[in-house]
Amino acid sequence: MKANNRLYHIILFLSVVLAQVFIFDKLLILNNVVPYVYPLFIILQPPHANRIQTLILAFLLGLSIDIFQNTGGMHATASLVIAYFRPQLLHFNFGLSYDYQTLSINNAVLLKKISYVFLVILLHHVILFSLEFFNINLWQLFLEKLIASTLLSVLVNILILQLLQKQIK
Amino acid sequence: MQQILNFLIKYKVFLVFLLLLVSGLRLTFYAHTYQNTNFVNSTNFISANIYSMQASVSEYFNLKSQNEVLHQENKFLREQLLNLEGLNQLDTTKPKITQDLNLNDSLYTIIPAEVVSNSYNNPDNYLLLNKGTNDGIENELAIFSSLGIIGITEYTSANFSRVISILNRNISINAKLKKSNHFGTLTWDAVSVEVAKLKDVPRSAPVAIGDTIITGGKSFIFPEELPIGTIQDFELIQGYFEIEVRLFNDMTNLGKVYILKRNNKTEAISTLNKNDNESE
Repeated sequence: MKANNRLYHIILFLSVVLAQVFIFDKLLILNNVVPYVYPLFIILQPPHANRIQTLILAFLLGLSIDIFQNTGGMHATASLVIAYFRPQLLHFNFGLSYDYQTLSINNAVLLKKISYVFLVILLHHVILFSLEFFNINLWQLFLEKLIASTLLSVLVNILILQLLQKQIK
Repeated sequence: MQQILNFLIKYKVFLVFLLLLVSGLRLTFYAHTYQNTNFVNSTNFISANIYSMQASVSEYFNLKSQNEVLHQENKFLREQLLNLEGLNQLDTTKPKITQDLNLNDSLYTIIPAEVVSNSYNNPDNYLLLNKGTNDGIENELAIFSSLGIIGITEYTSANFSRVISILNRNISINAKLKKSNHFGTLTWDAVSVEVAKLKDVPRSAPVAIGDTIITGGKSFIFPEELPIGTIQDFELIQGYFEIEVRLFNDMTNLGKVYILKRNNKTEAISTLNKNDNESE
């Protein structure tokens, strides 16, 4: 990782945490539905980044959110799980271009980008909300929150991705 | 030995994942137990100070509504004071209350505080206040505003304290109907930020929509007759009323709050424990 690149990742890490805590957590849409933007950091990791490094970064990312939100280790766990299954999700979505190391998420086709972001967010939200509710009797509430939050998060994440892409070009 | 090393190298990614997963889950399970002594919380130096910087900016946007609330409260207190003075002047045989108040003997101390961070999106919510052990804050003190109850302090650092909000599934508060003194337990079911549930109210209670719910005072934390909310809806489940209480406080917009310290609490608790021991 080049010095320039490292700086970019540090800034990205700090900005997703601060944006999550100070902007998106304050939104109150449709009775406590929140868009989660910090998985964007894991989505934007280089496709073939060092896996152990990615896992540790993802855990620290989630833990930072946990510290601000007083949620124990829920965000850390959810963020760790999506970092671990990232190669499988990338392979499932992008197939050969991932396997031959030519993939760049920013330049991918929009539809594939959306489906990739959707799968990452869905996995993240399933883990996060099941740890959050922690009670099988609340499954209806869990499903409601899962569906609403996933749709909102995917929308917001894709919008930010598209904006970032314009900036890079 | 060679084989063990090979195994470790082959599965190193999975092993790192497993290690982090276990520690993440451990922190999560701790967070779900009441009275957690979890070190992952926002009273630490960095996050608490970032939050208070943010609060010092954003409080300007709420000045108008906060002023309105304080104005209303002042009006209410002035009315009470004037009526009290009027009573004293009418009846000269009763001792005057306005003088001879000895503050050392007072039952309660009220410490004003400001909400630095407030969560309401999760099934278990917490607040962060800008007063800590340096200001005499302990665990298990009542937090309320002029509109009604807000929560209980749960973890204190030097300058900040974490409050378990009434929008938290771990909290249960003794509450009663203002009209008839029937008691129940106030909890939250994670459904709406405006509504709490009052459970275990006996079926003989005269429950009606619009009635006021106040604290019951059958605990060392909340005194009697702090406002909570009004009855929005109710149903009868297995011989007990389950009441939906619309909270007076807008839990999504909290500014200045009061921390209530009961000065004889340790004495009361030790007396209670003493009696328990004797009866055994």
